[in-house]
This record gives sequence, C-alpha cells and structure tokens, in this order.
Amino acid sequence: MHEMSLVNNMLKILEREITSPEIISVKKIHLEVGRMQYIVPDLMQTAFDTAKKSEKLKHTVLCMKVLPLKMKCKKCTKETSLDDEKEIMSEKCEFCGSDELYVNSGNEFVISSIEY
Amino acid sequence: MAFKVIKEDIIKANDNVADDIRKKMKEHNVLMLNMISSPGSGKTSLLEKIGPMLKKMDVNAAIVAGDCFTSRDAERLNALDIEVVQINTGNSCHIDAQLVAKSLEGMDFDKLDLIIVENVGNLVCPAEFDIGEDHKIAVFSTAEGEDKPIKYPLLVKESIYGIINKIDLLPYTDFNIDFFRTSIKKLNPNMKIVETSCKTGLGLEELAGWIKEKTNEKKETPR
Repeated sequence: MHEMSLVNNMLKILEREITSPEIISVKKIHLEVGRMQYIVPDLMQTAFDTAKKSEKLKHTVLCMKVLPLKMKCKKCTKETSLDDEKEIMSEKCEFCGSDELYVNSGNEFVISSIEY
Repeated sequence: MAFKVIKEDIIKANDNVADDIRKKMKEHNVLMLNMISSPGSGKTSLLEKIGPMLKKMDVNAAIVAGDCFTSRDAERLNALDIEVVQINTGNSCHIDAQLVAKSLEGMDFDKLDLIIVENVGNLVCPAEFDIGEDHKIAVFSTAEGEDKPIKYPLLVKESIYGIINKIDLLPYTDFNIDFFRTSIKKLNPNMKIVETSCKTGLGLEELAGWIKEKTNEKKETPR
C-alpha cells in the first residue's frame, strides 16, 4: 500500500542519481522488495508514471524483484531461504535440522540499480 | 545499455519529518511510543487503565489519539487528567509524521517524560510509517484470532513489545495462544509479550512497569 508515497521517495533518490549527462534515458529501475512489504507492482508503475517529471524517466519501466524470506537458525546461526510461505511455521534448518528458526528479512525496499 | 548500482533504501529516503521529531524527543529525553492494533483490540481501554498507574509512578505522559471520525477516544482519555491531543485523520488509514509534528506544537517538553501515540485502528498501514517514535507496540486481542501476527508480519517485525489483550476471554474463544506465541517467535524472537485484561487488571502493572523502565532509559540517554 501507499505506493505513491514510496514513489515520491524513489524520485528523490533518482533526482540525485540521474543528473549525469551520460544518462539520457532510464530504461529500467531495478527494485528489491521484501516479502512483507505490501506493494502491488501495477500500482507502483501507475504511481510512478503519474508522479515522474524528468524527461529521462519518460519511458522507464519498474522491475520489482520480491525477495524470498530468509529464516535464521537460532542453533547454528545459518540462514535458509523460505521458498513457500506456507512453511513458515514448520520450516527446519537445512543445515542442522533445528526448528528454532525466525524470519530475518522481509521488510526491505531498495533501489538496487538502474539501466540506461 | 549501461548499469548504475544504487542500493539505496526507499523507505528511509524521505523520513525528514520523522527524523525531526526523533531529534526533538532526544533533545528533551522524552520517550515516544507508537501503539498499533486493529480496531477494537483495546488500545484506548489499556491507556485508560495504565494512564493513572503511570501518573502514580511519576511518569508525566501525554497521549496523541488518532481517529478518523469523532473524538470519542480523546474524550475518554481526557477524563484521566492527562494531556490529550486529538488528531482527526479523516480518510487517512494511518497517522503520519506530519500529523504527529502538528500535534506536538504547543506541548511543553520540559514537563513531559512520555508521549504515547494511539494510532488509527489498522494492522497494515501504521506499521509502514515512521512517526519519529522510539518503539512501536503491537496490540492484539483474544477476540481476533491467533493468526493475526502471521497474517500481518510487518507489524510484528517492527515492534519490540506485544500485548495480547482481553486474556480474560480466553476460556470462551478458540484462540490458540500457543500458536500465537510461536508465530511471534518465528517473526520476531526479540519481541516481549505481555498478557493483559482491562477487566481483571492482569498484566497492567507489568505493562506500566515496562513503559516506566523505557522512560527512565530515555531520560538517561545522552542528548
């Protein structure tokens, strides 16, 4: 939710990052989003298209990659990727077999890179 | 085609107002707590109960109460002889930093130890927004279903303290408290949980005691 306020934040970062004259047109913006962020990709793109002003962003497409949740093991401290959220309560550590895992990610929202 | 690596957090990019609030609270050693729950979990009732307890513990508190419609929460809390500021959030589904900043205008921070923001009843949006608080507190109740933490994991991840309220109703509901506690451990093993009841008084002293402890810690933080 609140894609518009996130887009405004994104544009603040982009304002700074695309000033270089060698960047004429931004083709793609790569975003990494944690699974717990309640973001709808289509709404992000619409909000972005509505709010953007720079000519350099005229044809920019947002590419959102949703990061799988990582669960950390209390026993051996290694991290396991959670491929299926339904397993969150029952997942066991793939290294030591312990069930004492906890979610160690999920609330990220990062511009990782741009293609121009 | 060329690439430019940026790796910058979007959520934190525009938290200027929240940061200003945080700075102000630090200057005056005032603790700010952001209380978040679904409608009806008992936030206002809890505040009605612990308000007088905190007063007895010499904690000078102010409450910022958010509601979309009416000022019913503020009216209830006004009766406690505690400073209460009502925010009418209108159509907004959460309190944001701008609203909090406005509500703090005119407060005498030299006379305050603690500000509690009673957020709009909503498990989704308030968890996403920084209002300059020291800590978020998540309030759940036995009347809601033990799967609320797992369905709204961001709130659990963001909060350091969890309240499971209306514990007196446990015998009359199918609320699975073991599943509730286990799911919170899976999402945020550092979250401290207290069981409370505004009817029987269970857990309220513990809650007030924790708030007092955090208020003292903030007082001792170097400015």
